[in-house]
Amino acid sequence: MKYIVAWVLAVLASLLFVGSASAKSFVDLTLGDVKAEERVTVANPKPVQLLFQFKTAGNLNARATKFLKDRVTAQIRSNGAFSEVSEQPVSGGAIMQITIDNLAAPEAVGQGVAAGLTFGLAGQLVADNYEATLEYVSGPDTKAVTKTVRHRLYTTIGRHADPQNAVRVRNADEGITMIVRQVLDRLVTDLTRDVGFGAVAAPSPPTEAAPAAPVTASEPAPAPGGGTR
Amino acid sequence: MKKLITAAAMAATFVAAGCATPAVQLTPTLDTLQAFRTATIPPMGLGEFGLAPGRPPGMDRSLLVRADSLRPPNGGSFAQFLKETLQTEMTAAGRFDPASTFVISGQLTVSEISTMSVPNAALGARFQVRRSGVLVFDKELVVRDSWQYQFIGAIAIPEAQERYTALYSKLVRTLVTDADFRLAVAAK
Repeated sequence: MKYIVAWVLAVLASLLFVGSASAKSFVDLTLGDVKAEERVTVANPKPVQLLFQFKTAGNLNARATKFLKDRVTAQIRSNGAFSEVSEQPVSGGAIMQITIDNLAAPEAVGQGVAAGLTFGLAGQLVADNYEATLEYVSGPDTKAVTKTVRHRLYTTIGRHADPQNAVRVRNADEGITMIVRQVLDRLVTDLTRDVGFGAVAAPSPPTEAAPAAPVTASEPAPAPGGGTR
Repeated sequence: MKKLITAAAMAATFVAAGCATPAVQLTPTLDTLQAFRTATIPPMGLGEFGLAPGRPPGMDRSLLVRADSLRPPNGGSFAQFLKETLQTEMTAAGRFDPASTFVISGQLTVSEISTMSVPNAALGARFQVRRSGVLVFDKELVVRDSWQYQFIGAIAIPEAQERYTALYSKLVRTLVTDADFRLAVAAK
């Protein structure tokens, strides 16, 4: 009988702490949004065939790819760097592949379990690392221009201090949305500023007399790019 | 007691029935598209894809992954899934033409997943290419993958399924980069 009473008391005590075991999501501020003065305007945008894949620890994740594909396509279209964004081959033969790789640490599961089993008393901070890579070929037989950026989503479980240099978001989905938007914007901006994409004038710093305005890039070069593969 | 056993059996059946995961169609990759383009492979059509003779019919319908099972998308077969993956890549590369004189057909020969001590997956098919009805290429290609063991099913099962599914793209890429295949479909 005493074991039953002790068990009931333990369950009741646990229930009191369930609320503290909830997860909070944060997006790292290091990458941030692309500033207006960093952007370039492509004078004569060309069409591009867009390929997207999401990976988990380097392996293709077909479900996540399907989940994010439309979002990625919509954002690349809205960027304005290309006249057309299509899944099918385009005139000129330009192809751009975006890969987002979730490099989550394996210990995250153990940390989550520990936080769960202690009903949040064992507070944990888990960092989800994302590496996004853009590969662009302006046509057949041309070298790829490659750009890479990293981002990070934090999740605190249970009683743990908020991470430094990060902004709180409502949930993980909102966090992923922000991360995808920021990495795509950064990657495309970096691409349009690359000599392999076209001749780009260096952006001039903002001055009082002449406010910062997007610099103009010439049309994408059909010649081989200068990036690495 | 008999009712209890019946109820438990029914519950177990429902749980087991719920554990059938459909494979997700893959998206084209830059590597494969570049492979199509650099080899100047002509537009081709696709013929019949099915299970190789002598293989158990169940092999084409589902794969057991611990307590779960992986099934082809849209209620089809794994051989059909291979055909769809090939068509997706060929279309994205601008190399799919149902009216072409070149027609690729395939027979599924290997389809395996193991989540034991050294988790691994394998996928193989015998591909044949006919030009105007004449056989110009006939070869079995097999691709494999292996990865680190995971004890927790919630991690191990999806990883095994994703690894196996990714083999479809890998097999297509292996075909497209195969020297004999390229020679057989080269413009003459």
